[in-house]
Amino acid sequence: MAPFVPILIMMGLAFAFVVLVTIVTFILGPKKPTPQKNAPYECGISEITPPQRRFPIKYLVTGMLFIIFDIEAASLVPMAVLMKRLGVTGLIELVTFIAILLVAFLYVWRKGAFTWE
Amino acid sequence: MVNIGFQIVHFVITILFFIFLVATNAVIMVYLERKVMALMQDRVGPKHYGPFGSLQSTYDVLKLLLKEIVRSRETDNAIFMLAPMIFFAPVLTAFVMLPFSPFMTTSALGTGILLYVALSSLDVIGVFMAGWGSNSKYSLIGGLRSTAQMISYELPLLLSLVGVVMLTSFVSHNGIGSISFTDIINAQMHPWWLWFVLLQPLGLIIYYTCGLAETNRAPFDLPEAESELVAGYLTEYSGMQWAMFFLGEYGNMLIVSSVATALFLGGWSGPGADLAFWHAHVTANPGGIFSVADLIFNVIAVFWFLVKVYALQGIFIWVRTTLPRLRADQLMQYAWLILIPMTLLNILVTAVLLLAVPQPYTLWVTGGVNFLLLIGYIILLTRAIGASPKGTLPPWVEARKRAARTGLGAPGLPKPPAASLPPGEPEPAASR
Repeated sequence: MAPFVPILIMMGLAFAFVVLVTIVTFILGPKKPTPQKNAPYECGISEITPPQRRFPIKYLVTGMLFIIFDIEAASLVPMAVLMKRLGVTGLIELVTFIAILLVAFLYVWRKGAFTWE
Repeated sequence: MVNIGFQIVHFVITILFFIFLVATNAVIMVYLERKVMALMQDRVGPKHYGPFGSLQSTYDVLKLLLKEIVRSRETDNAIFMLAPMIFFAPVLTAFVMLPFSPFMTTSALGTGILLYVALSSLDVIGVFMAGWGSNSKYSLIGGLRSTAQMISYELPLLLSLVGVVMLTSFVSHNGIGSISFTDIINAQMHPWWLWFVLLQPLGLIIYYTCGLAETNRAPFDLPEAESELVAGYLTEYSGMQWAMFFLGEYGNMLIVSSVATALFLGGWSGPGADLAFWHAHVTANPGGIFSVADLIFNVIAVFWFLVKVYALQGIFIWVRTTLPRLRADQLMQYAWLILIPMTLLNILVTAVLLLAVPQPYTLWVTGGVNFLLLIGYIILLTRAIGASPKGTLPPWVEARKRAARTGLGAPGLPKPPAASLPPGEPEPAASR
């Protein structure tokens, strides 16, 4: 069997499982909505301000850093697979690659991307 | 020999095995967690249903199935309903490339590690959808925190596995390593105890730490910090939809433990898991493709794999009862400033040692140096979080010392009245 078919089948089964369970619990469970029950959770009092609010830019910075560093980390993997074949040349390339990574890392560190509060 | 009927039967058996494993693992782990935590905290734990309360979590599942699904009137319905699926689907899919034994694997995929990392990143989308779609303050903050945490720990998780991939390249005879789980387990078989944890202990510790953070378990369970965020992104969920998130979380624990077992603890290797031995001693073959020797071997292999997985999951529970929860800023700085540099150092040191040390000593020296690195990491960690009770002063003494040294108050606080006193003098009497 082609190696990628099981991934699709498994993902489809997972979706089907969750849908099935949700349908079953919709049928079995009681349905008695009241205004209090359907209010958004707020420790027992009614909501004062709407929930959508501005959130710190830190989360966005973390997300962008993740994309950059994740691509770089993923590109270390093929180098590691062939490390013995590549030998000393590969080692020099690896050191150069990590050095470039570290420059970027130190830059964002000095810019304060890792200081929270 | 290609036998399409045998392949289909094989596929169905393995898929059913994995689904059964995910479902029962959650039930078993919930019970074990409650019972073991109770024993560690000198309580009794669940005791009413079944022997030693062992049916408690089964009853819990039935109860959840009969609960009403409450939806807040402000939720974004499509996102809210889809989030449990998006969270659960990658968890079940990740089992595709995990080999529990040579037979119990669904797909001989060549890109195991990368697929695993990609799927564990997909989980983040489910969490964020749950936080955003709930349209509630606690859910939103919990979802954001959880997203930031999960993507930050994704990086050291992948980087800590690079050392293992490098080792497969050096252990193999032609210099080409592999990132497929089956190949990595086979690479650890040459003496059967050559598990990569002996060569990369630091890698295992960092991988496991990141696994704790990926699964939102204590001490990294900030998104679910009851004392500040109610239940994080789960606040608005109820009944079986909530249980789907829990099923996904326990499935994630199972995957983290299985990947650690496959990559570091030698997979199914153990006493008795030797195919050649069984083929030599058991020759009965009732006319199928699958002989009795294969069957015995695979049962033993799955047994050893599960023993290691459950030992690692036990450590999840142990850690939860032992360590206090981290603070949000400590959490992020721990990932970015300690774990990522440490994994990069580990990669460099491993590469240099494997290339520089001559042949018969290569693995010995690499393992030894990695153990030294592990000790260094632990020292760094104790200094960074100040967990050592020796030499640590109460915060107000530290603040006064710092104030006496710099002439300023503690940052962010008004200048304390006692700051002008030289250290060591008694407090002025509080009478007026």
